Amino acid sequence: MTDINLLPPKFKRLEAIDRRLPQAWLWLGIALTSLLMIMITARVSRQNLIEQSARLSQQITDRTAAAQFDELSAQVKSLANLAEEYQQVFAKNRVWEEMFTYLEQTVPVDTAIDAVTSTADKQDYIVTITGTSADRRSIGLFRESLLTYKSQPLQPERVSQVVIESINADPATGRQQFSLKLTFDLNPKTASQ
Amino acid sequence: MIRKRWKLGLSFTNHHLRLAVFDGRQIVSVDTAELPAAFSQLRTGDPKELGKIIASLRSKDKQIDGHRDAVISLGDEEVFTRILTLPPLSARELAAAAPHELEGDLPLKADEIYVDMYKIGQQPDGQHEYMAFAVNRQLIHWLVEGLQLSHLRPVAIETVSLSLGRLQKNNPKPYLTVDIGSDYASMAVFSDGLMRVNTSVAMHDEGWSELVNQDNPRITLEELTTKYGRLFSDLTDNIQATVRYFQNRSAGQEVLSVFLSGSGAHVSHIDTLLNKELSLPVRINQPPVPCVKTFDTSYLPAIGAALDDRH
Repeated sequence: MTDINLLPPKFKRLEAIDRRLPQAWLWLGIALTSLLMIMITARVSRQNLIEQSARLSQQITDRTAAAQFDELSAQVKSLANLAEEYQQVFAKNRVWEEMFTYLEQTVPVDTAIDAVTSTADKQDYIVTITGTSADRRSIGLFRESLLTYKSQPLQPERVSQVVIESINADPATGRQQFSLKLTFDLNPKTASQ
Repeated sequence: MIRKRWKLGLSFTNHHLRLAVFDGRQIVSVDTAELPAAFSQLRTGDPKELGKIIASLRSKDKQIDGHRDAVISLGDEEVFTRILTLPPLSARELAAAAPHELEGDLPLKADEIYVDMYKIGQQPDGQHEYMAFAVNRQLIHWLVEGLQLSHLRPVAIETVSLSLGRLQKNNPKPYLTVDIGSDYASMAVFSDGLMRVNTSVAMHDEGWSELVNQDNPRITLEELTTKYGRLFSDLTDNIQATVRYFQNRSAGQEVLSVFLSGSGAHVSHIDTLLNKELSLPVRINQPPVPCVKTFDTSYLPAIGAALDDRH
């Protein structure tokens, strides 16, 4: 049934507003329900986050995880040691190479080198050179040349001491057998202190 | 769930104010009050006096207290009804144009009437047809003031025919309502939920008025035919003209039933007489909801107004 209304327009407006009032309550109800649903969803999500966080925390404090971490840490240390050792071997090889070159250049013509050996401790790196020479004077010259030797790989260390450990005459050949000891100070600061 | 409001239906005739109260499920109260002679032309009465009459009606039934929404049903003779044919217009343009279209048919200017309308069809050339209603503003102001003085809130003002049509709103077939009073009779054809035609006819006959105003008007069919033959001849002519107008304009639709109301409807044998003249089933109109109090057919407009369900 189509309704007509012959009330003055201002009353019809009031009536229309009044008609909308129950609808306003309906919309308010929908809005409140939606808000409630959002709050419930947020609460559930928050609870899930808390549970996940608790599980992670448990995993972190787990002894197995700690043991795995220790093992891994040990492996890393071991790798670091290997690298250090490699560096030392590499450096040692370079020391030898350079030293042989220097010895070849500086050894007097009437002097022959029989053996070069090395030992090292934390403080010193010691090289022992044995050989024969025609006379003692050449051995002295050889020792002096060795005093100025500076090892590039062991920078800034240099020969701190060259000692003639022994000189013996060989009656059979008439040549002088000698033994020279070069000492490199590996820890000059400690030495200076 | 939104609770249905109570609604007070008030119908005005020249002599009586009738009240019906609907609580959302049933008609819980019906009552009437006589209007002073000064109100015979409604708009000339004092609104304060009208307020007092309505207030005294309300105070008789305590259960009405606190329920203020009122729908007024005005006699069709107070409302001018016409089918307007207009080009397609916006709602605002319609509201501005309609009073000027109607003022030519009324002894009032466009700014002295309130108009409302609804669309009932469209012509092949694109013109729209509207059922338009116009009423004197002075009358409306008088009624509104009276209602407000009695602490009622006017929700709507409509015509008696619209209130009566509401009683049969679930009827799927075209039907005719005839409201027969002591001075006027009004008729309307409804189809597809819309009032399509609405006309009124004067029933000026002193004897008829006296008969109708009796509490239990008894008359034989023969007396009715001989004494009020001319009156009923005018009435049936008008009804047939109204039905023909509807059927000519509504492609094959036919009026299949007639529903009587008004104080004249309880005059004995009137349904038989109209049935014979119109060759259509004639019944007394009935509300579609129960009513806890007995009522006569003069209360039907007020009951129809109380059943207003626009909100």
